[in-house]
Amino acid sequence: MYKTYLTSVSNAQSNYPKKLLIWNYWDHEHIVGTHFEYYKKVNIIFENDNFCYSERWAKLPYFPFYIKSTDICVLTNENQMDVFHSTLFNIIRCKQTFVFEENKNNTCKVTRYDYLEIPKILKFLQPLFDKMMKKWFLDVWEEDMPMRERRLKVWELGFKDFIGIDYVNDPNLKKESNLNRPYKLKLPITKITQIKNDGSKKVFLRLFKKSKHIGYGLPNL
Amino acid sequence: MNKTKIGDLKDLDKFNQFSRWVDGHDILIFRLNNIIRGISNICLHFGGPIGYHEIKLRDGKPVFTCLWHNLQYSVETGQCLTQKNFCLRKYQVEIENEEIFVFIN
Repeated sequence: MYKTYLTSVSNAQSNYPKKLLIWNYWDHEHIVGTHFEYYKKVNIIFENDNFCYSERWAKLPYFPFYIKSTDICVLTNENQMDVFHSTLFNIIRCKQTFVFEENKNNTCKVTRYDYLEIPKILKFLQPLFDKMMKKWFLDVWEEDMPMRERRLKVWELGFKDFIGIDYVNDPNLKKESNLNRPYKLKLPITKITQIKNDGSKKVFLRLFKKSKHIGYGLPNL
Repeated sequence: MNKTKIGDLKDLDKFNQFSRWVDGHDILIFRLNNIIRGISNICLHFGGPIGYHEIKLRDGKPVFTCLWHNLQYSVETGQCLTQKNFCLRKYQVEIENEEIFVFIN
């Protein structure tokens, strides 16, 4: 059977440094936290500093059921990440390429290129695929945006992973006024919330399906 | 310790909790059993907001759950139930004329 591809391109501009965006994409653990309405389970089978092999149970836009996918994520170079998804016994295969373009003012544009392999007879689905992938990109982007904003904010206040902020933890310490440090990224991101840890395999589950969202907080007085 | 206004009692009306940044401190104010308390809203894991969700029950006890990675903290003590060596700072709270104040360094 002749094969072809459905394609889609989505992009967005962020106000955050590239390393912070890559931290967000490589924080596979947050998928069942921040994105709990879309994902119910993630197995990380293997990962290192530029490669992650995982399984995910996801609900895509317009689909009422969960789909299990096998995903390989590769940080191809410092400006590009390639993700290969396969599902339904490898019948459906999709490749996504994320290109990061950092500007001088520490902002970064992300462009995602999607390719879904299909029999040529299904090429008529191109408009639907394009619409679905653009919606997915935007939904996830908007859900991640407050996370990125907050991550940068706590970083600029001196946050250290697994420790917190010194002057918050210790009331005797004063807040440093001019703490100016570039965002640092070390992969893989240390994981602690897995329910199973079998060698390099780690299993993450969402804790609940629905929640009353109170949000990221009230505006400043 | 500086006494700083963080909100009004009416801010608790909707969810019995709210959070707000005050001078570099993200403080979660909540009402439980008619007592109003303040706790750090910054998860010690990666800095996520523990007060994003409503209070939930874990083994019958109230917990906050961080939005980002599901770490759960006891509402009563601030002790993390997911990572035993994490404990959130508690802030002294005072109510005056329908206004809520916190004491920070």
